[in-house]
Amino acid sequence: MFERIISLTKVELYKISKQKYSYLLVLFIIFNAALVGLGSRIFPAIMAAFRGEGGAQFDGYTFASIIASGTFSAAGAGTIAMLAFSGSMVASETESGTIKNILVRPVKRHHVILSKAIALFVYCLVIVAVTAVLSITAGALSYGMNDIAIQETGEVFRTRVEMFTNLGISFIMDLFSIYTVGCVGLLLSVLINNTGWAVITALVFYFPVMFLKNFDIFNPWIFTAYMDKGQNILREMAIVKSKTWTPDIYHFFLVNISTILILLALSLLFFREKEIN
Amino acid sequence: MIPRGDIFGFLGPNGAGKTTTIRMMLGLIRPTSGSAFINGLDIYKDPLNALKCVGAIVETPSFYGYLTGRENLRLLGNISGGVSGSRVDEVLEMVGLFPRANDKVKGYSQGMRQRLGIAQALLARPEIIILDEPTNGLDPSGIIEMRRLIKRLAAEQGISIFISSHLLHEIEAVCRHVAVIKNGTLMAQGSVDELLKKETFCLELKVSNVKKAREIFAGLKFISSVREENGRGIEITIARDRVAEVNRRLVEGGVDVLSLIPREASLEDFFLELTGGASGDRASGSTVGSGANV
Repeated sequence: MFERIISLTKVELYKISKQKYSYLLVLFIIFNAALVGLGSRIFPAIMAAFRGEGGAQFDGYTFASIIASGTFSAAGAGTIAMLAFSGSMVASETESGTIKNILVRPVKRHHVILSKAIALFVYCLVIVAVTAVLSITAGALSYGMNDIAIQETGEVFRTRVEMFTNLGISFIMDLFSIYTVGCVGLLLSVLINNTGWAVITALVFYFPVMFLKNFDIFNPWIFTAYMDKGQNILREMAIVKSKTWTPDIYHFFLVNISTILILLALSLLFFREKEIN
Repeated sequence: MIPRGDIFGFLGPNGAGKTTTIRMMLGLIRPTSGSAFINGLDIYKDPLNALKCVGAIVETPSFYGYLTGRENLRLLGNISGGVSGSRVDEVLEMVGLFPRANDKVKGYSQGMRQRLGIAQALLARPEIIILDEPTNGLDPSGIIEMRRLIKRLAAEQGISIFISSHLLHEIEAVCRHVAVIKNGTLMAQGSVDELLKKETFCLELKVSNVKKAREIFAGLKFISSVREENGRGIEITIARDRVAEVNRRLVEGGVDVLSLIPREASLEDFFLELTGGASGDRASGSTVGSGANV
C-alpha cells in the first residue's frame, strides 16, 4: 500500500514541478516576504511596535520572525497562495477530465487523495523553507544572529544555538499552519468540479473562518487563531527570558493536527463517493 | 459477453446512455442497481483486479497539456504500475506518435490526442480496451487511420475492443458484434450478420407521388420504417416476402412505381428500425460514411 502511495505521490510531485504556477506562487510569497522585510527596515517604528517594549534594539531573530509571520499570518501571501494552489488540485483534474485517466487504472481512490495530500505537504515544506531561508538571511544581514543578552548586564539569556532551534520550531509550526489551510482548499477542490469556483470558494470561505478567531467561543479551537503563533512566541522569546514554548505549542498542534485529520477524512470520504462525469 | 479479440460496437442515439454505461463499467459512477463484470470480475466488488485488464478512453481523451506526450504516458504508466520506459516508446510507436513524443500535448491536434488516448489505454497491456466515441472530432483521414489502428490492435495483439459510438458506418466498418441501447435499455445484441439477416430488407422506391405513397405506407403494418430520401424517393424496411405486396398496394392506391430497388439492409437501417428513426444520428452516420469513402 505504501509503495503505491509513494508512487502516486511521485507522480503528483512531478506534475507540480512541471507547472509554471507552482513557481509563480513561490515567487509571490518571496515578493511578499521581501516587502514585509523592506517595510520593517524603512519604518523602524513598526519594528518597535513588534518588540512591544518601546526600544528599537533589534536582533536578527525578531527581524526574521516579522518577515515570516508577515508571509504566513492569516491574511498573508502564503495563505492566499496555498488556497489557490490546493483549491485547484482535484478540481482542475475533474474539470479537464485527466482524473478519469487515473481512476480507470487499478488505483484506490483514497490513495489518489492521500498522494495529493502528501504532495501538498511537500509543496508547503518548500514554501516554508524558501521563506525561512529568505527571512533568516535578511535577519542575519540586517541585525546579525548572535547570542541574545540583557542589554544592561550583558548576561546571555538565549544562546545562538537555542535561538536557531526556536527558529526551527517556529517554522515547523508555520508548516502545519499553512498545511491546514491547504487541506481546506483540498477539501473544497474535491467538492467543487470547476477550478475557478473551487479557488474562489476556498478564498471566500476562508476569510469568515479567519474572522471567527475574534470570538472567544471559537478562538481556542479554530486553527486560524494559531496562524502566526510560532513566530509570535519566537519573537517574545527573544525579549522575555521566562517565555517558553509550552503550553501554547501543545494547543497549537492539537488544534492543527485535529483540523488536518478532519479535513483529510472529509476529502477522502467525499472523493470516494464522488461521481466522475 | 464480448468474445476475446473481437471488436464490439455499442450503439445508441445521443443521450441513450452509452457513456453513462461505460462510466459504470469503469467504476467512475455507481449504478442504482446491477453490476458489471470484466473478465469475470465484479467492478464494484473487486475494482483493482477488474481494472488491471482494462484500458479505456472515456469521452475526449484528456492529458496534462504542460507535459509532453511521453511524460504523460510515463506518469500514467507509473500509476498503472509495472510499465517500463521501453513500453511507453513501444505504444508511442504503435499509434504513430513516436516522432512527436517530446512535444507538449497542448500543441497536439485532436487526432494526435485521440491516438495518445489509445496509447495510454494500451500501456499496461490490457486484455480489453474500452473506447468511448474514439473518432469524435477527427477528420476523414483521421477516422480511417483510427479504424485501421483499432482493427490492427484486435488482429495483432488479440485485444478485445469495446467501442461506443453513434456513428453507424463507423461501427459497421470495424465491428463484428454490436449492442444497441436506447434510453438506457438494451434493444438488441448479436453479430452484425445475424442481426441484419434476421430483421431487415430495404426497398428504395421512386414513385410518382411521394406524399401519397407515404400515406399508403402509414396503413401497412408490415413496413417497419419509412424514410424519405431528399424528396426524390422513399426507402422502406420490410420482410423479404412482402415486396410484391408493396408494389401492388401502391398501384392500387393510384401511385405509379417508377423504380423499385431491393437493397441489403445496413446497420443504419437496423438501428433506425430499433430506435424509431433518430434523424440526428442518421445524419451524422451518413456524414462519416461519405468521409470514410474519400
